[in-house]
Amino acid sequence: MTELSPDARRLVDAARQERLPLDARERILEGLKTRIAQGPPPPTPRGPLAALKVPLGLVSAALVVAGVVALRAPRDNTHPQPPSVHVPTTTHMASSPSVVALPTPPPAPAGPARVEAPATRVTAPASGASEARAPRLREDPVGVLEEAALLRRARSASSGAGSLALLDGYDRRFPRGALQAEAWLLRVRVLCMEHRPSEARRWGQRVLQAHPGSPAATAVGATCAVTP
Amino acid sequence: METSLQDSAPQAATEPLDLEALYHRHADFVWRCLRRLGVRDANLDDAVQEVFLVVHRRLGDLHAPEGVRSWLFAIAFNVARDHRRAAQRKGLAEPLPETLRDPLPDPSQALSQREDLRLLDAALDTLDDPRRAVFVLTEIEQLTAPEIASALGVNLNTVYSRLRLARADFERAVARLRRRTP
Repeated sequence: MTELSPDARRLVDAARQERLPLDARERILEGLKTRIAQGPPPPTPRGPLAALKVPLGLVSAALVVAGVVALRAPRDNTHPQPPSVHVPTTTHMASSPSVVALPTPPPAPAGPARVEAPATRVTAPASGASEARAPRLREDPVGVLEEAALLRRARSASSGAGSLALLDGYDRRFPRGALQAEAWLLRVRVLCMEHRPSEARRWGQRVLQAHPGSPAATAVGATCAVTP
Repeated sequence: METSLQDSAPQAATEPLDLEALYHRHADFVWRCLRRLGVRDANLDDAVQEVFLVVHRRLGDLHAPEGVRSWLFAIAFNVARDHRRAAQRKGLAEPLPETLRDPLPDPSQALSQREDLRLLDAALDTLDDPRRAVFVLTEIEQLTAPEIASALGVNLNTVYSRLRLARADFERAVARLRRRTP
């Protein structure tokens, strides 16, 4: 293979001699200790994790439509507790078996839609894994939008730690969230970026088990949780 | 080219897995990598900190101390990429004026070295990320081909192929930049 010319070699040799200045070395170390003591930084509106390709924009748009539809749907006054409605979180979520198994309204109907309670009622399963298969639109669609907003913040956090902290918060706040699959997929991708493959695999397995056949499960196959 | 890859100094057999010890041992390496990967001076301190924050969080994942430099570079590569993207979003991709850089003791030597480094960075800026990474690791940091393959998650042939292309790109860029310099 061709060696570098003497001129180019001189340039790289000059770079090899460079050292971190002593004052900067100490300053960085002190800052590092301080940041470790303080914990992860707060998230910023946009950050490196924004490059992750969890389609939250699409999810949010679909949820806005779904929320509007739910608000416009007539309420059945005979039911003090309105039925939970199983809806796809995005148009492509329609391929999920958990969605196909139940009659669901189209994601973006042209006019007002009536939600038929008997056909859309979801019985809450007892087991945790089965619970996870039942993402549902909350009574208050704003809650679902809050999920999307929280995930968007997690995706655009300035650091992996910040993102994971927000995702922990999401899991605590929305243990059966409608966007759980997307949240877990985002966590898998962050863990991959953070070079934590064993944890990524564990969360990838959770996605596959709780949301088999979902777009999130398909996407997990392209992460370090499955591919080395 | 294989000579420079294969004859590189071997990694220390055992390295302490303590953050501060890792920092003192590898801060220069991380700093140089970030610099040569396009992180500008104003952001270098933060970028080095970010690399070692990741190291701090992931220290338990490092089971092969002999591969610490590959591991560090993989982290630095991601941090550098994020910094470059952030700088581009903010319109701060241009380097700081030379007058803001630390002067070296000998003015003539300082001038010459600054010019060399500026030319080097300008030439590196013309390389795409994969070739740039291989070039920096091989020519400046003198990692072995297997270490580079490990750091970048590619096979050995890819390392050699990228290095060959990177050298050609770099030579062309240096020649072009030299012609522009009065």
